[in-house]
Amino acid sequence: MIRLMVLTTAWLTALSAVMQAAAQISLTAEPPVGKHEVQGVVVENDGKYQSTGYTPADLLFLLCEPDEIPGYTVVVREYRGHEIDGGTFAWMAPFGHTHVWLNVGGLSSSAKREELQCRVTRRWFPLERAQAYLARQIGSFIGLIGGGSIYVQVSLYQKRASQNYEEFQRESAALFYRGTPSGIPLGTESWYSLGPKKSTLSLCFVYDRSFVRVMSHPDPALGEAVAQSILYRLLIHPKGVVARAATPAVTLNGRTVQSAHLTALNGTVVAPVSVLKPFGVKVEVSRSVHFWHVTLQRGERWRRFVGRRARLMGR
Amino acid sequence: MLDAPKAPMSPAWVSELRLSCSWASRATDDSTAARKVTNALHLWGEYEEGEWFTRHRTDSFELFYLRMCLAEFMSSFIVGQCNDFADLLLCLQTSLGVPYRAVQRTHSLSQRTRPIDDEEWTLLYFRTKPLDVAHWGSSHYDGVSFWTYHQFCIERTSGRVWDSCIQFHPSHRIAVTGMPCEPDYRDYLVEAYIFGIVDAVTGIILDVREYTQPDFFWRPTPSGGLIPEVTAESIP
Repeated sequence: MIRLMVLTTAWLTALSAVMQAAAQISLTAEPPVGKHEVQGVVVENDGKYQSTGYTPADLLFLLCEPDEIPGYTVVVREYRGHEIDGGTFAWMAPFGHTHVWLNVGGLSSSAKREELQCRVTRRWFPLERAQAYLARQIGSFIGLIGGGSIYVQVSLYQKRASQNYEEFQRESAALFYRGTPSGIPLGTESWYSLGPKKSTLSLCFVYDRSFVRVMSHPDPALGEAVAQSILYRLLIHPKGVVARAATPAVTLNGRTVQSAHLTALNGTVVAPVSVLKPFGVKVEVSRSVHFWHVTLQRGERWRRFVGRRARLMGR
Repeated sequence: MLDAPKAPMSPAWVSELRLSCSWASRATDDSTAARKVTNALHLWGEYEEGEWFTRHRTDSFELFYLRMCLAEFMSSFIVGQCNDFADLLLCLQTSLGVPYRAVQRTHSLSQRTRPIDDEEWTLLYFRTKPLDVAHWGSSHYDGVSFWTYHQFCIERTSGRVWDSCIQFHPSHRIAVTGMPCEPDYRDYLVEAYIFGIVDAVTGIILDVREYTQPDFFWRPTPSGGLIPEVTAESIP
């Protein structure tokens, strides 16, 4: 009996330690080596011997929020048993709507910090289909994927990303084209494919120490807009994860507009509308899951930006 | 498991065995096990164009980042392009002990020319017949594709093909599970070859021709298949 009590106490102590460790894991600090789930974000840290110092939050900064793209949302996969969803197994858990890999390559004792990489992926689904999946009207997760999604993968390196169009095409069976579908420049180099039905965008771009891949079906233009938003977030990242572009000089009423979030995206000045508030600009936001209206008013003059299917960057 | 695991899964990875044993459960012979994992991967794996988890490709070699492929599959169902599907299927089958397996491509990466009318023409790509591209059912890439090559899994002794990346003719759902490479697989797959005369200096395509006979330029490479090198490392 005493032995049983000792074992039970030891087990409870160990369980308590695990629970305390889980409770301490946050997205704003580097978690222990291993796999964790925090608020729907699955984090895998390989930094046993080396670390980049990036936290999950540093990677998440690069993505639109789960509910930021009008008409889309994220979904945590559910385990529903082999008969319903034979691609999802309980041992694959924890599931999340977003995955962060920190310090990939850092499990080797010979790893060098400059060879480590970090990666984040997130997938958004059309809102109605996401609701249908959660209501079990769509049985399997692959069934949900089949109805369309926006998938984003951002890789951050410690040195300049080595990917380029020629090498990518050489390693690809499908045909890719330089640039973007719209012709708007994206990063240092970009390339894309639209799939057999011209409705599936697979878009990659490289900028300094980053490599980004965006896939969007059935709305290629939306995928391209999301790719531009990632480039913007790379450029304004507070930790300077890539080389910053020269900050454009913008003056209003003779005063310089200053913001850490001000940058130039392909020659277009981009900044949060909040930087205009000190200049007497009123900002009115109206938002639903499908629409996002931002109205800027200064005196008698006003301008409305309509965010529908993520085209949120007014010019 | 039916037998001791075979290369490149010798020894087999636990993470791979979890998938292959689940999908091939209750199979008692090689062909049933091979068919079950081929169909399961087609059912649950998502094809996406472009470079994913294979690198350093030559006509006799490629490096497969299996750990990264499994991690991506388990988080998002994405397997990758045909190379990734073929290599993952090879690992699934060989982890169960299925023997004599390798992967093969429809065409060489380097030997892509043939003389036509006394001129040297280069295979640019081939146009497929309508395909059901993974995952099974309606998926983004269903339909006619334009590929520079396609990679699949073979049985080395017979040359028969296993392909979890595609099934033929979406309305008929013809699974590629031990299909004769020629003429069946070839004729279901290829609609036309598109050749061009390419300027050796500028790379500009000067002329283009299309040939619709599936046997016009069918060159499975390498002839005996290849076994990719499998690694748990991360892609640099």
